[in-house]
Amino acid sequence: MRTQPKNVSEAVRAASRQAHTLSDMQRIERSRGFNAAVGHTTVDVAGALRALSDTDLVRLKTLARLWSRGLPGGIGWTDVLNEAIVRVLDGSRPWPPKVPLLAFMSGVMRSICDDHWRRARREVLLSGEHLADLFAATEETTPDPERVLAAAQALAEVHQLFAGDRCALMIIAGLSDGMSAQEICQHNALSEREYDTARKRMRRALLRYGLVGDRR
Amino acid sequence: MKGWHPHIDLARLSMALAEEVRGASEDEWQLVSDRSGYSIAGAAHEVRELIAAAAGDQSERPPIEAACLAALARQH
Repeated sequence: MRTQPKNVSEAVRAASRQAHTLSDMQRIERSRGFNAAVGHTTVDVAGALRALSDTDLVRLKTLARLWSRGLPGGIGWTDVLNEAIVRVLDGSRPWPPKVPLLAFMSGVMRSICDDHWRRARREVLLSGEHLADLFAATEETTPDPERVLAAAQALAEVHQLFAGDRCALMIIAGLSDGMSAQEICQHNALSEREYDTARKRMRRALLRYGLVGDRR
Repeated sequence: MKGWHPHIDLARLSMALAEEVRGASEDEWQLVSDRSGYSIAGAAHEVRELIAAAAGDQSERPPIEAACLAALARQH
């Protein structure tokens, strides 16, 4: 009977060692956002990024251009894409299973752009005499004037991209209002064929923008 | 315009346009490339370099961290 406590104690120590090792590993995984049980590993992401086709890489560039329009502080698409790549590779943005890489990267870039806007607003509020507004701003109940202006300019640029194409502009307006394809057609008395043709023109203008940039 | 939230409109529009970008076929990209005179390979090269540079920064992490990540990667 005397040996039992020793055995128990050994077992407890062994379990504790194991738990300690496990918790350490979990801590590392958590701190790196590196949890293979819920997502891909950073090694997977690195490999998947390297394996992207030329067209997928241009898709990635176009998505970066799209999300980074009008960002404050002169932040451009390369900065946003670079930051997104760093975050997915260091594991702080884990790649969830069953989510296509480009959809995931697009979401990461969108979130990074939102972060830049939030940071810019916080800096403005902290540097000025608007400390009282800081709490309201962090709650995001009031729109940020700089962001609103930049968004209005970006919308104007998108409209400019499709200038002269009445149907495409109708579709743009509908998409901005969150309408479905059916609602856009009904609202603008567009036939399905007119809609599809205009959407194809719109897509090509968009791809051109992604490939060529602002060069006309 | 009171009640107009361009940043919300832009977010909705950007989501829709991002889907167009992702969903465009290889043929459509090729067509745009042919018409514009800008090569897909050239644009892709720029992004590939960016990825390589960012990945290079990551590989400069401390050896212990790198070893932990490598061990975890082997487990899965």
